[in-house]
Amino acid sequence: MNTILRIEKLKKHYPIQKGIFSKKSGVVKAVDGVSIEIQRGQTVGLVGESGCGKSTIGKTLLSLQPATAGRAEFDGEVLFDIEKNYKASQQRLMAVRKKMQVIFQDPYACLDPRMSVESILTEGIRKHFHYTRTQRREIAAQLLHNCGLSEESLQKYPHQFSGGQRQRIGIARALSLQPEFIVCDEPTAALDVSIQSQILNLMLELKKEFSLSYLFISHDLQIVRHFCDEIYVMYLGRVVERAQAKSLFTHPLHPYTKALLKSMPDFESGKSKIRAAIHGEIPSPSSPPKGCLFHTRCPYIEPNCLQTQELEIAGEGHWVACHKYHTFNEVVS
Amino acid sequence: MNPIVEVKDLSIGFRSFAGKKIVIDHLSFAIQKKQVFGLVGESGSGKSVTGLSIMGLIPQPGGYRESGDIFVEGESIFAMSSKERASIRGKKIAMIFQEPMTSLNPVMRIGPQICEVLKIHEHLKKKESKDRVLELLQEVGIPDEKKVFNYFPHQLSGGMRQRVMIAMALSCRPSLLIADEPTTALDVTIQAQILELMQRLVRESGISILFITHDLGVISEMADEVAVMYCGQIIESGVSQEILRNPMHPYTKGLIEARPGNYSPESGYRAIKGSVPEDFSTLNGCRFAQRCQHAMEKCFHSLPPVSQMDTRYLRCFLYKE
Repeated sequence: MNTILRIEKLKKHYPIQKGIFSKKSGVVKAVDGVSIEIQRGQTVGLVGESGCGKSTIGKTLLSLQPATAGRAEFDGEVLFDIEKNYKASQQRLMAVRKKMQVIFQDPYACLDPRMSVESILTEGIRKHFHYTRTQRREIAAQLLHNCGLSEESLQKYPHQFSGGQRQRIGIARALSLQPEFIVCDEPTAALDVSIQSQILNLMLELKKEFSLSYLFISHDLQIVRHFCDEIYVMYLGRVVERAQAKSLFTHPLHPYTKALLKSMPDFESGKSKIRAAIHGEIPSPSSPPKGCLFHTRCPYIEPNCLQTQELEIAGEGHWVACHKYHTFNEVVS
Repeated sequence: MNPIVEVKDLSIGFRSFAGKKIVIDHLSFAIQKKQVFGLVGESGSGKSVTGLSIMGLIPQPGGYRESGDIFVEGESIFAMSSKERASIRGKKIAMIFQEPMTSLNPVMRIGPQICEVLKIHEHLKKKESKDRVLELLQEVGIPDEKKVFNYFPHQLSGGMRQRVMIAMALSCRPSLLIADEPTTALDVTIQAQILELMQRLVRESGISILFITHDLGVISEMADEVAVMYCGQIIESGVSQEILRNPMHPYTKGLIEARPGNYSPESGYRAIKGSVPEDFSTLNGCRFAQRCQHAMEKCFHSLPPVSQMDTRYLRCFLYKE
């Protein structure tokens, strides 16, 4: 197995501007030093609450937004290396982008309402390949077929489809350039439960068929649990825990991961006293707390927590950014 | 015991240039005192329209009542004058919505917004209402309530806004709170806090809640009774734990199996095939028939009647009393 994508110490800071001269008055650290590694054929999950920077990672990765610092490498090709002041040229990016695509969250917003399905699906093909019109149409029909829609849909417009069907079109579009890697930014968050499963199954099938790798961004731990091989848990722009999906759910180490798992409404337990696992709100990313970012809400806080803690290895394939995890793990679990 | 709200055989439709369309079809249920009643269904199943209708707010333009009635503490809301109905809203029944920012006035400070309710319904003086509002804000767990009193809505986070909405809803001590997907827009850790708050309210102030959601996990933790809606009809209803543990209607079964936590490597994620029919008022038979694995010949032609089994109501030909 080889690495298809490697991100090192990625940072994305947004300046806060004030006044009529847009004076810089602060900075929002949306992503602050995140490293991710994705092996070929693997699905990596990125979980966290809103505002933790998970979508920003996806965007900077695809060079839709410039990174502030860090380095990204896709399939042996360096996309950007800010320290060395290197950015891949537009030409090189064109070639790489063919291999990395994206599926968006909102199927109502991501399709141009004035384009027919055929032109939505063939837009990328026209740009990147030299096919005739009939060939393009054949490819588009095949794509629709792969995604569970009929060929008649080619002539239709997005408004004629339901949410689930639109998401299928979005997926078909992502596949149109035969990518190797797809960023999935909450692809099922806007869908009903019964449709959600259909889309997840489709994505699993396509992954097998076209040997894809996914970066799966989600806030729903239940989905990530079975869909991903490895999971990164993010909080306020940093990764607090990284583990294989199975061990994350059986042995969560970071107090934030534990709180997340505990807060999930549990279908099995039945009517019970709901226990809010943690109190308080997520601090504002423009003025994050010092030291461990979670210490304002952590039930196990001690003076040490005011010092920054990097990810450290805690077990086989399991990293955690908490210097107390081994002490309370035995006591609480 | 008299129910707080009783919906009897209610049908709501919409008129447009394309003709009539029924979106709620012969709905009946009752909410008792101190009860959390869950209404589950996918988008378009009519759960929000049901909630609004109980408030006497059938969506306009085009919305009308085809048949049936709604009784609030024994009184029919359709027999009331619009003035009388307005006096019930906020006082006897209050409602909170999914996205609190859209229901708060963005150019009005939090305190005066809540005071307004008290001024209209309880005719309180400025000073009295301020004290009451501070009490309310404290009750819903807002730290530093004196400061928040003077905040504008945009200065608060999503969770805090929802708390403000709940404080506003509670300001006149209503007997029923209609919560329309109150936690869908919130993060899980904040969702748990809000749900905890709502449970405490039921316990301590004896309010009833009509909890509208699509999330079965939330229903399982919150509701005493549950009604599952599909295409404007209740297809199964009863005690929530019984229904969730032992679902009988194929749709309820499908919904429960479709939870992503229910994945198995052999069968993948369990989906319900097909999608919700867009125009279901033309369907003669069972609304779920096209997607149902157990559909029989008659399911497509005639609508199954509601049958009762112990405490459960069911609309399916597969089961007979």
